[in-house]
Amino acid sequence: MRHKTLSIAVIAGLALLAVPAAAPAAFASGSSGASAASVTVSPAAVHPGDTVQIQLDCSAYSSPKPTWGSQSEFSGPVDLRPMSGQPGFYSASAEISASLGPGSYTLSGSCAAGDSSSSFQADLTISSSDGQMPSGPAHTGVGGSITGGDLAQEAGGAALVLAAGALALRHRRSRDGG
Amino acid sequence: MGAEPTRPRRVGAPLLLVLGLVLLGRGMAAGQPPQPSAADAAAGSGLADIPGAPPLPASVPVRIRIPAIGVDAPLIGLGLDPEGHLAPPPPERAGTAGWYARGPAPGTPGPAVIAGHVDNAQGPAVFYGLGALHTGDVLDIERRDHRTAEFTVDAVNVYPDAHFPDRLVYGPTSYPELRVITCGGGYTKATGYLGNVVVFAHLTGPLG
Repeated sequence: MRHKTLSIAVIAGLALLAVPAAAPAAFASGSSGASAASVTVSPAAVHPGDTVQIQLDCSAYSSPKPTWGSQSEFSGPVDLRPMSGQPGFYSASAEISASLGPGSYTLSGSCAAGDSSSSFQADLTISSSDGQMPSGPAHTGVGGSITGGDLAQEAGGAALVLAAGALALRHRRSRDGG
Repeated sequence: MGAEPTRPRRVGAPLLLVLGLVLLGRGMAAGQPPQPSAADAAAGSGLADIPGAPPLPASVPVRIRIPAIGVDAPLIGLGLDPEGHLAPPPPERAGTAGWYARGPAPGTPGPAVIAGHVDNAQGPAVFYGLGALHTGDVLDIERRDHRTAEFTVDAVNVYPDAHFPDRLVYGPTSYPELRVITCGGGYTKATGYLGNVVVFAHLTGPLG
């Protein structure tokens, strides 16, 4: 019995291990408890430094003044703007902080400041940032620093080589000639 | 008396030849970026997972300083080109280096990747002297959290483009490490640079 329980636990553990490995990073969307507010963040797969689109539905509230509570997950302020032609809806484009480590985060805010019943939440999962690394060489030069070299050294070297040749020739002549 | 005068000549000609060739070689090499010496190269197995200072929390790197070659340059975030290669900083920003913003931040576990140009069409750029680094030299990465991650060079290698070791350079490591990349490995007018100079370093500070 004990063995059976153990093996079920192991299988469950393996299943848990397998799922997150295959699943990309995802943003969940939703509202908080009984609140009629909801928020959607896309795309579903994000890495640190990515830009996401946020869409907030506060249409259930008569004169919404949305506040965004989560700042540290982003590289700058999240600027929610009313969507034209859709009263009560707001959207923003925001960049995830490049230094945000992998893990789970909760994004939150409310549709009416001070009214906790209008709060919204979205769970955010950042995938391991080193999952996608570059490949191959980097092209980091075009040759604009290549010159003919140090002319003085080249000329000096050539002169010495010539002198060596002349010396060897003279030596051979003097030996051959007696 | 007959043998005496020929002796200095016999030594003289080969000596002049050697000196001349050395000078000629040095003169020609002076026209190319410095390349790493064999003494600073290291084979694959010794280059990853070198324990050092404890990892730092993630923070965006803003500046790289390499005192040994007089580098003090701002860092921008880099991404990938459509082929999956590291997209370097724009060539006209010759004095700017970049870090791969989707990879580990310098100081966190894993290989942080920094790249910069050796030159652009106008002349030498930020990492012109990278190949002159030696084992034991120090690289400082200044971060947005005002902490400076200090790395120490383990090796300076050259890889031809066709045999770039992806796993060794970009593969996961247990400890915080750094790779600094620029072009090198010889140059011809027809092909451009033939490879990359890659500096391997591991985190050695701040301690505690």
